[in-house]
Amino acid sequence: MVCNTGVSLTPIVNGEVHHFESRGLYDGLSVLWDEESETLWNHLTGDAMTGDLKGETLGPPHNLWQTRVEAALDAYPGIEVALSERPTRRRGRALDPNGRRRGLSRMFLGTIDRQDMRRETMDIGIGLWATDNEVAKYYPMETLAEADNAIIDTFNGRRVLVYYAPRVRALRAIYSPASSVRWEGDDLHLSTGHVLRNGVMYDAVGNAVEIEAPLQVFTRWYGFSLTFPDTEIWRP
Amino acid sequence: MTGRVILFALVSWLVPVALTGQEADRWADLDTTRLWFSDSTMFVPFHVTETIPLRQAHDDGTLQDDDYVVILEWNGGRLALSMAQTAYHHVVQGEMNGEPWMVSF
Repeated sequence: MVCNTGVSLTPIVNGEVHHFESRGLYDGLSVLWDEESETLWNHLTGDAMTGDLKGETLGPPHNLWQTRVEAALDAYPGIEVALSERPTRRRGRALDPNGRRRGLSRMFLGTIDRQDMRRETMDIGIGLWATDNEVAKYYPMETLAEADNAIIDTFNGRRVLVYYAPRVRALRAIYSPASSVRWEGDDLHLSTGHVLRNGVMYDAVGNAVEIEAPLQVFTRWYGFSLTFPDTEIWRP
Repeated sequence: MTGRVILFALVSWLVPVALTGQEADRWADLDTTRLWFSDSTMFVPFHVTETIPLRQAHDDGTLQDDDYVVILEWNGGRLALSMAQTAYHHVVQGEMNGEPWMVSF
């Protein structure tokens, strides 16, 4: 999608696997359609928007992690990849903070009722949300950069570390009790003794440890704010 | 010629298709004046039936160091997907350790 949002969902409704396609746009975002019921689904929350299965959900969503091949191989040497027949390289698909920031086309704009102008339409950031009490918070990449690309904040009642991972060129957020962080090259050292490298957290003796993370998307402002209209915006 | 075909296909997809009476009734609780809907998808979903080691795809040049991938973690397993391909298909579906999953992008 233009807004780059991606999640994983459970394609099962009432015990049956359904098959989905991107069939259109609503609020500037991809609309999913399933061939079994012809219901329309929100591609980020997994909720049925309208149709016979309205009220059902494919959620809760799970995070996808954006990274690069080199970093993925470092972090998970034995990982497998699924490849289709499509090209594996396409300019402008990843969120590049130095890339062009074209606005939305008329086609997209025609599906939007009202944009949230608190940030620029194509602004890049990370959006966190919690399905349990419907809170959402957006961290603009530009503002994070001014804070040395790593901040500790509170989200949904928990301490959260939000940072820019330079080698994978993506913003990420994890729950952590750390009270401070510092950079050593591309590694982020936490006051707990842990180190974040290529999206993987290592303990003080170098063992990879499990990360707990809030639901998140590395995305553009318009997509996140249209999905979560009441989102808070992080400010230092 | 190929460019013209692609342009025609794209324009055809971009033109909103008038909803049939049945669709309009079924989706009446949505503001369908803001819905772009196509009777068929241009973005064929990717149904995963096989995987290969990422190392192999890297070593044979299919994927390079700088290429973006997205990592799916599901039911105790982990799988990489090419971000360029995922962004094209918009929907990827498969099974991991016996559990169906889908990626929406």
